[in-house]
Amino acid sequence: MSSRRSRSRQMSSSRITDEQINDLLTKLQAVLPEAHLRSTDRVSAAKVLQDTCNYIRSLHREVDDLSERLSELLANNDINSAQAAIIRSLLR
Amino acid sequence: MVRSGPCDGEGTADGCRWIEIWVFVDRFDRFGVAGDWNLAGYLKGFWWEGSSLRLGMTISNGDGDSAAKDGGRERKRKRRAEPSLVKWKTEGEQKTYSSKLIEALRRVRGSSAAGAASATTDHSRGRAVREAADRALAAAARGRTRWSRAILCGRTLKRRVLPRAGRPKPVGRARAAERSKPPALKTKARVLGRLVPGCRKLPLPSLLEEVSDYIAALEMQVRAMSAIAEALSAVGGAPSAALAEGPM
Repeated sequence: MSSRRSRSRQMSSSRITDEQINDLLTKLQAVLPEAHLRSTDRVSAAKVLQDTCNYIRSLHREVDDLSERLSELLANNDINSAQAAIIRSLLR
Repeated sequence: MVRSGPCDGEGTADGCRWIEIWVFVDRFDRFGVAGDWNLAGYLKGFWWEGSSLRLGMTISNGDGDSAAKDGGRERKRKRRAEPSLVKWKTEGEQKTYSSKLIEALRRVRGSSAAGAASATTDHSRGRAVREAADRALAAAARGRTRWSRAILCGRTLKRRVLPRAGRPKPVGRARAAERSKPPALKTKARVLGRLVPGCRKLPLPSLLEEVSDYIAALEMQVRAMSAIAEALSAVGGAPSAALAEGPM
């Protein structure tokens, strides 16, 4: 990273970075849901970033809902070690 | 040259002791993962190098061998190993996470019962569960990503203002790089950086890498928590008296 800081190369470094960014954006787009619906030709950077933000927000919401659900379940039933073992075996 | 600072803070998360160690480094080095983690061990110390978080020693809790890594030797490493996204999809990873989460949930339950029952609302319990889940997720990342380290730092230790290690940022180049991106993208990138913990001031390429890993990890978290919730409802469906009668 320190090698890219030399001012004489600053224009070329931003060109390299743009390609890098495009690559990363494509990879990111593949991770998002409904990736199969999109045409793989164009990557609109703004759309990818927007979709990513929305997706992360929805994942956060899901985790929050699950946390609420788990806390309710925990409130009703304490997890003793026997139940923990049962749950682990159910997950196997 | 690395000078070690005072041990400024410590905390406990999920039964692990986290100790914050300050190290001031004279010259900037590309930060890297300090070797492999001992899976049976806990993160014992980590420090800030300039504005990057360096990983320190891992010391086992007695289950496995201690795997102390010398941060000084690891600084010679040129390339940082890319965190693989595939691991978040493996069943093994999810099972490990689920077990850790169940243990953490047991502790949450224990601590909330100790306090006044009327004081703990559903929401505060939900928040405690969320934080335990996030911490377990960050621990599962084994310190390889910035967001995981930010979660572990932020939740258990006091926030610190990072002293700059005397590395001057060339302001001209930073401004030129920013001009290459349209302002709309910058705004969205900033929003994205706020959503992912610890990534507010990250340049776009690093931010996008962190985001992909974070999303994969979140998806695993959702899968694991749903499975636990299902299992809990299944187990809880039977009257608890039946379970108390005898071991199954």
